Amino acid sequence: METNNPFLVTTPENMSAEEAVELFVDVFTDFSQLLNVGHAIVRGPRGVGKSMMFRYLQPDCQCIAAKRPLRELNHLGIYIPLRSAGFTRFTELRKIDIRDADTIVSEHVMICYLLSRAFSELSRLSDYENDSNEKQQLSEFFNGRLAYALGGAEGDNLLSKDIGAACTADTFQFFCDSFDNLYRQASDFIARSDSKLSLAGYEGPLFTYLDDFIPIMDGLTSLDFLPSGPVFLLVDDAHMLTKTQTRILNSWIASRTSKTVSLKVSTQYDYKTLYTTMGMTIDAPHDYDDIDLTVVYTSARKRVYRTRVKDIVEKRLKRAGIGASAEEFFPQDEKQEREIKKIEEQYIERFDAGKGRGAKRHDDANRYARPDYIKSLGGDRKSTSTYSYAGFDQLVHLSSGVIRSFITSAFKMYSVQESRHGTSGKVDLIEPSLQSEIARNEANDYLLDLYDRGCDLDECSDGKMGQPDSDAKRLFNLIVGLGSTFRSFLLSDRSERRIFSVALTDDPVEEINNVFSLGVKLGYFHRATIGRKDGDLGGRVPLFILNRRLAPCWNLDPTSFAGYWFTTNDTLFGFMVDPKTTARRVARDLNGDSDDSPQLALFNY
Amino acid sequence: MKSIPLDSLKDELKNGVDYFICSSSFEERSTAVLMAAGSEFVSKKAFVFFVRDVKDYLEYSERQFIEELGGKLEFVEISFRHYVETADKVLSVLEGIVESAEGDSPRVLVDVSTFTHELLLLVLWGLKKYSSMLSATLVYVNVDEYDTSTKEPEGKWLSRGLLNLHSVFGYAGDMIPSKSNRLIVIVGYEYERALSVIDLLEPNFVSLAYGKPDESTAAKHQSANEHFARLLKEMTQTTYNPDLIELPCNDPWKSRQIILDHVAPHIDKENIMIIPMNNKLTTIGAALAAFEDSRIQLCYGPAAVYNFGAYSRTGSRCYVIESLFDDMC
Repeated sequence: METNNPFLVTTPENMSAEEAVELFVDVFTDFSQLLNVGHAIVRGPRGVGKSMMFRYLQPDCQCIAAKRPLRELNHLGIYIPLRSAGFTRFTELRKIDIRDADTIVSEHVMICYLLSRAFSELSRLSDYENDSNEKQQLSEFFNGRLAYALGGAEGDNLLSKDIGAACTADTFQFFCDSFDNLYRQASDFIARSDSKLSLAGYEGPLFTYLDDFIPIMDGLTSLDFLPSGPVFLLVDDAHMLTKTQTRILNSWIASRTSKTVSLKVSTQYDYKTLYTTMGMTIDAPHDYDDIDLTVVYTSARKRVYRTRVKDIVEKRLKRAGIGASAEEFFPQDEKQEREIKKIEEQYIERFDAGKGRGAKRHDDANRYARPDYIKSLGGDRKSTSTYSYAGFDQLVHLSSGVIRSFITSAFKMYSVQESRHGTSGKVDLIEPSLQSEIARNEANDYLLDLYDRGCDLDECSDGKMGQPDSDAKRLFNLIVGLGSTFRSFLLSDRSERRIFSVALTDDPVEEINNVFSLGVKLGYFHRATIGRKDGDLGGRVPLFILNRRLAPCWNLDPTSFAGYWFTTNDTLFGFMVDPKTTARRVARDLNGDSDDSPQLALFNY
Repeated sequence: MKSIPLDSLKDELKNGVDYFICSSSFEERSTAVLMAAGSEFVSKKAFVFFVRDVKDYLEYSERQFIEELGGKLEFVEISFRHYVETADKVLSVLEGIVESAEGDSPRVLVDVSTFTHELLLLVLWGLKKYSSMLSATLVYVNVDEYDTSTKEPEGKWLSRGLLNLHSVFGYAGDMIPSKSNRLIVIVGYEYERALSVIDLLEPNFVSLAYGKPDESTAAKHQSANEHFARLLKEMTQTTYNPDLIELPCNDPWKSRQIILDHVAPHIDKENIMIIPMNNKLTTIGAALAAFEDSRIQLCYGPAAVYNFGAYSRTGSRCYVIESLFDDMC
């Protein structure tokens, strides 16, 4: 559908190379390991930019970005999307329970899929000479590498096509068709087997990664019209694989083949297993580089994420013919910022008079001005909900390290702003009131989405249908309890009021672990680690950082959460069962607690 | 196919059947056929599918089946989560019926009213496989109202969440790696689950089908169905610009043809996946389309939780479908 909205979310796979390169912001300085030879697993929630990175690494984009012809690229990126891959949801594959047959057959099906996608991608490139040199090499490649692998009918079928006569792209398409046919042959065989699968009636090949896939890829990189560097196999959404398929992929990662094929695997946080088919585990950094995008973008690295978002936004605005900067397009609420500025100046004066708490002149101003302003909206004014979340900086914070969150919100804001303009034309900025309204609505919707998953449990006494529903309800309660508690911190007189994360003083029990795991999986929490509160015991414990997108639910300050809160299993259980009462008790205890834990910079800039 | 008052079912079944197949459910509809017809119509055995994942909500219907069917009853335990095992059990029931036949084709009545869409598709697949060896009649009891706890059609809910997504056993289709993917969602009330499926798969193309009933008593279903289909279209408009297609809620053959006509221009270049989430009659239509063109894949994604307490109120009519596979070679 045609739209002027510069923040339209397009799946990277559907983007043209020109569009992808135009919109891409170089994030590889943040994750330089991705461009190295070697395997990598890239983790992160939906929307953090994994697929976009992979899109950019594909050869059509790389030719444009590097301004080089195909043969001169450093690597050959082949995109393997698993989200829509048929074999990940192929039920008949699960009926194989003869020992090892499931991995043999699954691996073959996966290899057919990879090879089909690889040759399909190569057939869509246009950077070929189609001269006799290419034809000659392709014939040799076919005879030397493919013919044996394909064997039988497919080999004969290809021979009949007179490979030497066709253009290069068409030749790659012939190869693609062959592997499509082999994929179909294997799938048909599996689907038509009535009882437990026996391989006795199967007459096709059975490919393996080491014996078939690697030699074919090695042959490809030997073609002088393709990049001579390694193949980067960009395996996207690997959490969609079944456990067996994941073990197979892990076995590939464990193999020492990265100089020929470097596996770059993206996944959300529910990657099924790290075991291989041989029962060993793959380990980072020995076997692969482990990159957690959320940790990078919620770390103390200065302004990195903000810079990325700014670049992305400004590219999109420019493309839409809007000359504003990100800050101009998403202006803050000036009246609010003036009030906050006044409070900041008061804190600076106090510091100058020797009454500051912080070490540096602006510390107190940075820490307390905004919380004090929010606090001032309550009480007699009773207008807490008028705190404005407008302004590019706040919106960046609210997106919590997930670029898609920012873009999706911006899309909505632009749509509404445009409808308010009627037919009068371009949108030059998003009004602060609208920014804040949408930010609040999204926060509430995000929280209510979780509530909806568990709300019927009020009628269903103990939440059957397995754990997920009960955990969803407990997670909802936990988040509500924590949100209320963080609000209490914000309104207190503690030295650190901007708390947005929690860690346990005692070891987490299984139930709490399960709920937090669900929270991380659904994106309500990010997970990091922190040194134990009791330093004598040593070691680190998990730290769970609440998604800042939820800040408006409790009128929390979304900028720069520097603090964390240590608490006990009992308190967290209390939140899960009765968030209101527990939060009240914690708030009461808070006022009598003089604990001023040292600050941990999480997202300072 | 005929539509008759539920009260007339006893008369309709006066000749009886050898076997009865149905599913225990949290819906009162699950025992409607049995209560209307009385257990005398079953001469040999009744197989009642029993979903163990929701067993705590099946106590009432379980009791009724035991009381009415007595020694003729056999519960067959299945699970949302173990779908290969479920497929095996369905086939095993039908194989057992065929093997125990003495001479004539056994007559089987299948009450599909409270089957899950997946279970229905599995049973249809099995019935087609054994269509020359048994004589099957399907019966579907309509619904007077969904989500009896909510008045406004737009506010009704039947389920939440999505446990997983998989192809239904027997309907793998032809999913070619190099082709793009088109997902056809037959939308009902569960637009949120439909949105989850679209979000999960990220297909290249989306088509949205919604059910259009003919009878005026079901007009409120129509407005809700259409509402949710349009809501889904709105939510996916900018990414997919989906087609909207209308399917008759009460004519599986017409549904089949409309689906086949819709996919015809696409199927050579696209992998076609259909996820039926409307009523059982449109699901039968989807199955018939997949039998006609085996390149079509049918998928299913069980919900995480159902509106156990107020899912539906039984209607007063039922559809009786005989000879479902007669026009198929």
